Amino acid sequence: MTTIQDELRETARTLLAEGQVDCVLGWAWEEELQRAVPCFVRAAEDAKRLIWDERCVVSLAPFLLHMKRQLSSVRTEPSRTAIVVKGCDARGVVRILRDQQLERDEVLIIGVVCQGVGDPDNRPAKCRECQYHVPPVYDLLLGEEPKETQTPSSPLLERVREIEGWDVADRASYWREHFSRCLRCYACRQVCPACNCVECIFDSERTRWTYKRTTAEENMIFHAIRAFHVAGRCVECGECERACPMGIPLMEINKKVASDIKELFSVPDAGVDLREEPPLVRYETGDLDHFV
Amino acid sequence: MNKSKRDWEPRLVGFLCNWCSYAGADLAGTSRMQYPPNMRVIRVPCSSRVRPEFILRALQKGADGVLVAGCHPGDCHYTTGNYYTRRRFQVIKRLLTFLGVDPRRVMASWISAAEGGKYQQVVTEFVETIRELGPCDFRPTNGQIFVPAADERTDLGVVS
Ligand code: SF4
Ligand code: SF4
Ligand code: SF4
Ligand code: FES
Repeated sequence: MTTIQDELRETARTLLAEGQVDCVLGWAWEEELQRAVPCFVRAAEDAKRLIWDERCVVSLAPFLLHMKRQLSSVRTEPSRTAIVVKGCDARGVVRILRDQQLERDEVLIIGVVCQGVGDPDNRPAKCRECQYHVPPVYDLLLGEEPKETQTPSSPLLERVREIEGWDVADRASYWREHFSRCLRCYACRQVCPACNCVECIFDSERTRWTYKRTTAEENMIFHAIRAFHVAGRCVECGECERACPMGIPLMEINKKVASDIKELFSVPDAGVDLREEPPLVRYETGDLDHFV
Repeated sequence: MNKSKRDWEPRLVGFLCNWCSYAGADLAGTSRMQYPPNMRVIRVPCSSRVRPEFILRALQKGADGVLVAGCHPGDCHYTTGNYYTRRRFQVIKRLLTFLGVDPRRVMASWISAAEGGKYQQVVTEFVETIRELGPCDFRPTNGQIFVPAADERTDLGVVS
């Protein structure tokens, strides 16, 4: 039986051999680290290094961006990269394309049908409530589309509702405790497909509104601002929370904002449509007005 | 709360758009309407100029409440600015509430250049609400408001 991994290697080999793409961005197993890492395959004979299975947890979408930015000074020819995506990763690629950080024809999207990554007995939260086992956007699809799909319940949303039910003072101390542990390492930002600004406000020397001190208050401002900057564009991939070394429950914040936006402006999920217009960069004259 | 409510006065910051709400406040003043003096007004070109960073920074630097005011929908000097304000404001207000800021401390209002009376009423009611709520505790735990070091001080430059 041919597996998705076999198909993937063959597809990558053909694409490179025929010169349809300059690079295939997929996962390879790194023995020393004992984990699947991003792998940039440029020669057809290296396509056999690619893997696809439950170990492919990391989203490759942000690497498209890092690669383009690093190579932009040396590369003058137009180039095309094929990227392997799970459903959640595909939404990240849509994010980057919609934010006009890459041209559509610079990317060839190889979607893989995914039933969840990580330990099968202890899947990440996002896999347990995944609605996109088939990537919403792709150029080539590997794997069988499942016949029936049901919409799973969302424990994360329930958690958000629970926090909303607390006293405001309890919420303040809950977040103060979490934010006081934040190191401002910015891992959450680096892995985020929505945080694709060429210069981030938190790196800017003269923003006047942000400081780098790691006090609970400054960190609260960091998180509130970052959440607002990705509001309506966050594709709920969970990479920020996965990358955080301090275990700060960032997805509770992102889910809160995403669910508010859906409720307020009746918009579809972010990153599922290449024509999407993020909800906070447009408006309807009939938007809710009762708050003023 | 370390200060007793008796000698504490609410401190509010109001971001008023130049073309409507600031003129409305001006009208309230020239018409000699009485309202509490607790609001420090910051004039902005349009309500959509108010980034969420401004609201957060105001609260952190000691404001007990923040008002964002602009032209009525349809009347923005830049045609559509306040439609964006309206969307963003609802999102940021709910987010801040989620993070532990009392929702009554952040408000928005549409005040036209002719609505001196509305300005008077909005400010009066807002000050009353905040007086009941007491001081905002969205400040450093040690009670000290962060003062940047000398080399960072240019960052605070008044307005360039
Ligand atoms: S990854 Fe975690 S510790 Fe690092 S800046 Fe983000 S929230 Fe803070
Ligand atoms: S879930 Fe986190 S990493 Fe993913 S898009 Fe949203 S903010 Fe960015
Ligand atoms: S935190 Fe804001 S400014 Fe920084 S990269 Fe993300 S969206 Fe851009
Ligand atoms: S100019 Fe008043 S809200 Fe835009």
